[in-house]
Parts: sequence; structure tokens; C-alpha cells
Amino acid sequence: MDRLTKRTLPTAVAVAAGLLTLIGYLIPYPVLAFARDQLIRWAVIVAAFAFVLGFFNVLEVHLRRITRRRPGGFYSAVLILSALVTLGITLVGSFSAPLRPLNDWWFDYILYPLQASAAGLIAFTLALAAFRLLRGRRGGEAFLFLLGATLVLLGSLPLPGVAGAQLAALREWWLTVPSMAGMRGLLIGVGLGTLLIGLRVIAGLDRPHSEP
Amino acid sequence: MIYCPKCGTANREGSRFCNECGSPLPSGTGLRCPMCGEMNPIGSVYCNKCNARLVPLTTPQPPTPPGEKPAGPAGPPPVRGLSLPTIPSPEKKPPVPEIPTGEGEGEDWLAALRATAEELKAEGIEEEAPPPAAEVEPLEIPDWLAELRAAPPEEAPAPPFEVPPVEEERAVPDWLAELEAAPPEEAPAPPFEVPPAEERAVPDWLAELEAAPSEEAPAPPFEVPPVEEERAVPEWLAELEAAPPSEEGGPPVPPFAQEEIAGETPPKAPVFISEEGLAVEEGTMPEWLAELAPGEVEQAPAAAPPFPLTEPLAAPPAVEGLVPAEIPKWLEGMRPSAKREAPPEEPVETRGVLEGLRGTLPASRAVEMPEGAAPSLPAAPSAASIARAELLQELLSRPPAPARPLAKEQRRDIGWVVQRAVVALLLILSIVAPIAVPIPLFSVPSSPAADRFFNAVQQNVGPDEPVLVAFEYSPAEADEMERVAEPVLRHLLGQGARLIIVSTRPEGPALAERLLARLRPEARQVANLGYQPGQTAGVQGLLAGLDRRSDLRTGLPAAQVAAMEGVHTVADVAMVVVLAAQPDELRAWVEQVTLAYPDLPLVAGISARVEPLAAPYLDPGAGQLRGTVAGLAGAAAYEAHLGAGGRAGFYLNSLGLAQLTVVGLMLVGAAIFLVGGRR
Amino acid sequence: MTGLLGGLEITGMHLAALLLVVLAFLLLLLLTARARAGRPAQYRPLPPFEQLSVRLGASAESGAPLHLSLGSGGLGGDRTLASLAALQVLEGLADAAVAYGRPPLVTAGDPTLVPVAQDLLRRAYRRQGTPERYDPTSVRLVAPQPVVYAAGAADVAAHERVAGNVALGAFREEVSLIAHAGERPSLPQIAAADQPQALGALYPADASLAIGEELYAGAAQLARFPRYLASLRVQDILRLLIVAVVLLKVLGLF
Repeated sequence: MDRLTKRTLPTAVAVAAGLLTLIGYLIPYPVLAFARDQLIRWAVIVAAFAFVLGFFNVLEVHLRRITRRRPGGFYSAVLILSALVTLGITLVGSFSAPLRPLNDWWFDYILYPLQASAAGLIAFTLALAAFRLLRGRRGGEAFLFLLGATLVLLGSLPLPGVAGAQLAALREWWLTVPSMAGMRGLLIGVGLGTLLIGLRVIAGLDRPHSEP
Repeated sequence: MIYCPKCGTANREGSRFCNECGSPLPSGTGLRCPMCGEMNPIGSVYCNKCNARLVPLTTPQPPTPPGEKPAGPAGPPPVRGLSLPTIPSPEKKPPVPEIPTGEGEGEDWLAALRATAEELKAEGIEEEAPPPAAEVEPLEIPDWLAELRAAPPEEAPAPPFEVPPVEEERAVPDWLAELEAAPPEEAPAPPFEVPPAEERAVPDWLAELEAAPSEEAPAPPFEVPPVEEERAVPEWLAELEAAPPSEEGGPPVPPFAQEEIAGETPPKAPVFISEEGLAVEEGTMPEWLAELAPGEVEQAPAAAPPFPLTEPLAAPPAVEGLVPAEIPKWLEGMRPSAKREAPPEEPVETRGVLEGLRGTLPASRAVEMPEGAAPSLPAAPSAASIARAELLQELLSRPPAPARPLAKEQRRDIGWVVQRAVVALLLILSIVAPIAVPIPLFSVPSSPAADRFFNAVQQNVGPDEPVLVAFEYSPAEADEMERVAEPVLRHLLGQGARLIIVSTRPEGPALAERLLARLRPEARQVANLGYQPGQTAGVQGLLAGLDRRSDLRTGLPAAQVAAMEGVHTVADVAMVVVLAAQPDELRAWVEQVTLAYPDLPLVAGISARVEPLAAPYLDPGAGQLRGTVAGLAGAAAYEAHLGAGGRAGFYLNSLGLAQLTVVGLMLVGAAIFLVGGRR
Repeated sequence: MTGLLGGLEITGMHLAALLLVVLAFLLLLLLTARARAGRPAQYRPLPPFEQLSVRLGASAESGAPLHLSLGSGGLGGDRTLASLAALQVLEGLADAAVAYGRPPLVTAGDPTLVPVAQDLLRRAYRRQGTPERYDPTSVRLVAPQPVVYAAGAADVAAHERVAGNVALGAFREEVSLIAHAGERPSLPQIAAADQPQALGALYPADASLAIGEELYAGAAQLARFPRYLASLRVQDILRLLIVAVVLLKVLGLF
């Protein structure tokens, strides 16, 4: 019984669902497509539950940090407080129309700027990494990277004159020939990797979902 | 855990058949190495192939009964409990302890040092040398070891004692280099020639030893002493006067070395994976260790061999051939017993290399000297050992080595901070300056793809025609994407189109409202159908059932909203506009729309990072995208079409200057690191 | 993929895909059976994942856990399989890490990854016979937005006591934040990503980098189950096949 519920059943469900979805994509037959869409819809519902679990995971991790007096406990307290406030504001905003502007304000003036500034940091870390490129890596690859990055960055500038036009043409060539070739190779390889990992699950060889 | 040899499945301990394939599990070969996959006989502790540990450390081991003691020198059993589980590597460190001949042992430890240094240098890593001393008790045991200390385990391998042959002389670690003058490198040196004890200026603390008999295996007492002031009798020695003085005494190994040994010493220390696994790379000193190490010795070789810990005794005639790996009876007797004395008070260290480490050497609490341990020692210490003791004494009286390595580390850190500051400053300057002083540095770029986008809107979107707009970006990408979306939406609204807004990102609808608040369309012109989860699958769902959704702005079902009039599925709209910041969403939309509705005009406003990936879709042969507005440059070109300058054009100078700055930084950085090495 | 594979112009995309999938499936079953019968498949070592084993040992030595970022892809979305590959690497690590008493500190950028990662660790503890030591908070959800996730994971890399900074799974350019935060002399970094944006961000960073499909081979490096090795082999065979098709097409031979 143990074996049935913990291993056989989950594997059977996973294999069936995987096969059904895969075939639904490969054979354009209405019933299959419907079954596939239904399964995907369920996956979305499950993912929504995962959000609830995830919220509690965040609370648990940070509460534990506070109660065990680990360093950074203050920030954890701020995090928990703001998580609860955000939850409250969102709930209130979705149930009561007059309070909706509070929700919008919270998004426009708290969430948006925070995310945008975190994203702004990426520009800095990328610039710094580019500056230090040859510190960590040497050899032809690194120089190709340097060349490609320089070309693409300069070529996308609207520089005046013939040089600007030539740079732009060179950038275009770089992006459409060598860069695209590499990218396609990469994506084909990744496609094969994902195909096989998916097939392993569908074939019941990998069982991320059940007891081994 | 028994791994099936056929399919590799892990089965419960004691299983007779594989859960996976049903094949019988051989009881003889059960342990599969977690690191290399090699099958090992059950009962193995270390992998045959890679020497990774096979038995989990978490399994509690019964403590060795106190009565179980090694036999005498004649037939010594392997060391138990206190040995150093270093990795016995066949070529370098034969695991079989070899009995020193008794001649020239004076050089043995130096030779070991040299050989170790050779190895270290050759391998370029700081590897744990097999410390010749088995008896050093960890000073401070990390958490993961703490539970093990009470139980000396059974199978710790005997420490390799054979000294590798000495090839070269000079490769001595820095800290040893200072010693060159005193202890000669290769040949038996003056200090090692046996001087009569009386003639040599024997330090006080050693003199006391002379009378005391010492036993054959010179093991230091378990209380590893904090190094005291050199002159007076160290306290640890004073304690020994009454009980068993060992000829070497507890050698004052520098604390860092002690700790390094401690890392290796504990009986059940995790000897995992491979030799590489043990290699502590430069600068990767574990934090718990780094905290303990005095700053100036930071870079001292991790493998600092505990120098005169346990050379075999030269002189005692009664002893023929020492097996250093043995634990003598008297030492065995020192295993923790029920009766304990109060730990001696720990003195404050104020000088020498151990300065400031007072509180960190609580070894005296680890193992106590039991009562009744009364070993017999040889009548007099050998002259050679006295000489070594003198050397030790001299070592202790030396001033600490200059703090070179630390200074280097600090410089590196300063370099890191400076690099970051310079890059940040230049980036900020290049972005802010063109905003503060708006001089047009760059002309409005031309963008054929944006031109195609503009024409597609002109041709396909008339007054009151519905246009599906997908907001596929998040606040993180919004700063760029709003510049892109703004002229496009303004154009669409200017054409009199109705906008039907959807998104597969949770923040999408809110971002759309944010942008629309600036454009101020008429209420009947916009329907915001909200967020559809499910990514690619979500796009499919959206396309099929637009009228099944509800409008966020009014809360009404979509079918009742003015902007949705006559629109049921995506087939009813005049055009689809995707505002995608990442390639995934662009791909999802392009594939789903062109698959289902090949003739529906599809255009995309994209971030600059998606532009290269969008190029194939723009290919007239593929015909999947009728046009794109890519990044600020594309948006500026689009604004030029609309006639009025906009935000994109305004920020274009900043973008261009920042791009130039990054190119400059990259080239300068390349030059610096090319010329200056990797520092 | 349509656009990127557009150059192939295989008539009947469905048919070609079906053929490829069936072929891959049969090859996978065949080679797995062969590998289980004791004929080990060929195996290419990947330095980043070899490094990972080493770092795991160092983690046990230093008493600090590895920091493992699983990325922002979730199960059920478009990046499911990249996330699954990362989870399998975690599975490959888990037994050894748990035996050493230092389970990795896992940060996830999607809530669906959390229960799966927790389950992997919990099972590893149970296999070791110490289920009571399992700590569910060693797997943490940081944030479901990629950039916020990267900022939070970067904080872990920068300020918590970790022995290595490992980023595996579905990332985009925001992974640059994590790599930057982990950039210090005493903290080795290992990364594997399959998205061009992430690779562009990771290449200049100071990290041992597994590129593209190597992410999917990582689990085979750590736990050489026959099915993993067989699927590497199938991957190689199919790749050769695709290369041949592309070449023939370019040469105009069909």
C-alpha cells in the first residue's frame, strides 16, 4: 500500500499527464488539445497554491531568524512587516473599490521604485564585470567577447558620418551571423537537453515527484 | 543504503531485492561511493577508488572502552581514536607507518617539512600535510565535530608516517625561511648534534626534564598548551613535572597550525571525495578557522607542519624502533574518564605569535589527565631532543613574521572598492550629465524596423478598431519599456483605436494603468482584461477567450465593456501589439499568434536586449513580425515619425554616453588586467 | 523555436518533432537498458560540476553550507525543465551534503520550486537515517520576481556564511547581481545557465561556468545513474543528427 501511494500512483499520474500533454502538442487533434489545455490549467492552479506555501516559507525563514537572534534580524522584521502590510493592502484593495487607490499608490511608489532600482543595479554590475573581464578569463574566447561587446555597443549608437554607418552595418552582421549562429547552436543543445529531461520524467525514469 | 548494481537505484538498508528493477541485491557489494560511483564492499569506510567517505558521519559510534589499549611496541595495533585521518595517497603518503631507523631522526621532521613544502609548491595548493603528530588534540572543535569528540571511532586510518624522500632543499615556506640560519637544511646540523645537556644552555623548563624518565613514544599531553612567556617555566610544563613529563613537551604549535591540524585530526573528520576536496585554496580559509588565526599568519601555509611534535626518540636504548603511530599506554590512559579535575586556569598570552589568543585555546577542557597515569620515561632526554627543544625555544622567542600576506589582501580589497567606485561614478556621470546639460550628442537614429511598425499601424488600424496590447514587462524592465510603449500607444490612441490590454505577468495590468494615466485615453477606448497566468499556455488561453474575461477598470464582464464591442477572440482585433521585455514572452506571443492567425498583423515593442533575438521574426521571409520598436533608439525613431520629441529622444543622450562609457571601461579594464596581471 | 529553427524549413513541423521525440525516446530506453546491464555510457567531464563536488567537500570542512540559487523558473511554466535540471543537481548533491552534515542553503525564485527542493533534502535526510535533522528553512523562497529574487539571493551570497556560491537553473541577466555579490577571493562561484542573457551576464563574472546544455548534464556528473549517462549519450547522438541535417540542407542535398 505504501509503495502504491508513494511510488506507483504518482509515477502513473505523472507519466499519463506528461504523455497526454506531449501528444497534445505533437498531434493536433481537438480532444487531445483540450486535455492538454485542461492539464496545463491545473498546473496553473497548483502553482497558485505554491504561492501560498511560498509566502509561509518566507515568513518562517525570517521569523526563525528573528527568534534565534541571528544577524540581520532587524531586516527580517522589516520584511515580515512589509509582507503583511502589502498583503493587507492588496486584500483591502480587491474587496473595496474606494480603497483601490491605496493599492495603486503602494504599487507606484513602493513596489515599482524598489524593483526598478534593483534592476538599475544590474547595469552597474554588468559594467563592472565588463571592466574586469580579462581579470578572470583569458584566451581567444575572452577577446572575442570583448570584440563582440564593443561592436554591439558602439554599433547601436547613432554615430554620425560614414564610420557610424559602417559600425552599424558591422554590428548588424555580428548579430545576424556569428552571434545568431552561436545562439541557435546553444538553443538546439538546450532544446535537446530539455527534451531528454522531459522524456526521462515521462518515461518514469526520473521521479522528482515520488519516493524512489 | 544499498545501491542496486544493475540500475543504480538506492534501496533501503537490508533490502534483498531492488525496488526498481527487482534484481537481487548482492550482499557482498553494497556501498556505492557517493562521489565516484564505485562499488565498495560492505563495511568499507572509504572508497576504494577515490577515498571518499562511505559511512555517514552522523552515525553515532560507540566510544572505545577505556580499557582497550594498544599493546606495547612489540605488536602495536593501529592507532585508534586519536589518529589523523589524512588521506593516504599511495604515491605521496603511504598509509603504512614506517618505523624510523633511529639514526638521523634529527632531520626527519625538517625533511618532512621540506618535502611537504615541495608538495605544496608543486601542486600550487595548500594541502594538508600529513602532520606527523597524531596526538594533537583540537583546540576548538567546530560544531559538526563536537558531537564526535566524545566517541573515538574505530576505523580512523593510521596517519602516514613515512617521510617522502627529500628532493630539493630550498623550497621552504616563508615562515620557515627565517629559520634557515639556525637549522641547516639538509645535513645533520650543529644544533642536532648531540651536545651534552649540561654544556648547552638548557632552558629552565627543559632542565627539569632531564631528571625525569621519558617514555618511548614522545606524545605530548593532551592539554595543548597555550604558549606562555618564554622565559619562565610554562604552566603546561609545570603541570607535567609532577606527572608524566614527555621529552618534547606539548610543542607550541602556532594556533593556526593547531587549528589546521584540528581540522584534520578529529577522529571522524570527514575525509571526503578526493584529495582535491581537502585542498583549501588560498584565501579560502574556513571562517571558523580564520577567526581564530592571528592576522599576521593568515597566509602561513595551512599545512604548517607541527614541527617537533613527535619525532621518535633517538637515544633510549631500551626502545628498538618506534612506531610513532602508536599511542602509548600512559597516553591511552588519558582518555576521558569519569573523574575530572577542574581545568587549570588559562593564562593570558601577551607575546609571540599567539598574542591575543588567550580565550581561544580551551583544550585543557577537552581531555583531562586522568588519575593514575604514571608513565615511565627514559632516564634522560636525548641530546638531540634537547637541541630541538632549544630550537623550539628560539623559535618562540622570535618576533612574529611581518604581515605581508595580509597587507596584500588589504590592497586587493582597496583595489576592489576603488574599481567599484570608479565604475559607479563614471556610469552615474554619463547618465546624469546629458540630462542636466541637454546638448544633443547623437542624432535621431534611423530604424527600419520601427518604420515598418509605424506603417503597419497606419495601414491596419483605423478609428474605433480594436487592438490587442500585451504588456509583458515588469517594474524591473519598465523604465526602458515605458519609453518604448509610450509613443506606440500614443500613436494607436491617436488613430482612434480601442486598446484591449492583457498580460501574462502579474504586474502587467498595473503597469499598463500607470502608463495610461499619462496618456489619458477616453474611458471607452480602453479595456484592461488583467493578468493571465500560465505563460505560454496562458497566451493560448487568452487568444481563444478574450470575451470570457472581465475588465479591471470597471469590474464588468468583458463582453459588456464598450472597448470590447464586437471582440470575442483575437481573430476580431485589427492588430496585436506585444510589449515584451524578455525573449520568452515575445516568442510565446509570436508562435501562438502566427500559428493560429497567420494573417493577423503582429508588431512588437521590445527592449534592446530582445532585439537580436527578434531579428529572425522580422525577416520578411518569415513574416512573423510586421515591425518592432526596439529599445530607446527604436522609440526615438518612432517619436520622430510622430513628429513631436518625446522622452525616448530625451534619454537617448544618456544611453549613448553610458554605452560609450561602458565600452571605454571595458577596454581600459582589459588593458589594465592584460598589463598588470590578474590582480 | 519556430523562428530560431526557421532556417531548417522542415516540412510538417509536427511530423518532424514527433519523429525526433520518438527517436529520442527509443534511444533513451535502449541506452538506459544497456547502461543498466553494466555497459557504462561514455561520459564527458564538466569542470564546473567537478568543481561542485570539490566545493561540497570544502563546505563540509569549513562548516559553512553551499549557497545554491535555483533561479526564477518555476515548475509548470516555460522554464520548467531548466529548473528541473537544477533540482536534479541538488538531488545529486543532497546525499553527500546531508551525510557531511552541511546541506546546501537553497534559494528559489519561484514558489513551486520550494516544496520540491524541500522534499529532495527531506528524503536525503531520511536515507541517511536522520530525518529529525531536516530543516525546512534551508530552502527559502526569496521572491517570485526575477530581479527581486536576484537581489535577495545576492544578499545571501554576500552576507551569510557560505562556502560557495552556486547558481543553477533558469536565470536571465539579473544573475549578474548574484555573481557580483559572491565575488570575493574566498568564495568560489559556480554557475550553469542556458539562456543567452544569463550567459552574457555570467561570462565576464568570476565564476566557473557551465554553458547551455551542460546545465542538463550536471546531474549526471554528480550522480552517475545509468539513465543520466544514457540521456547524455542520446543528446550527443541527436545533436550529431541535427548537425548532419543542417549540413545536408546547407549543401543542398535535400
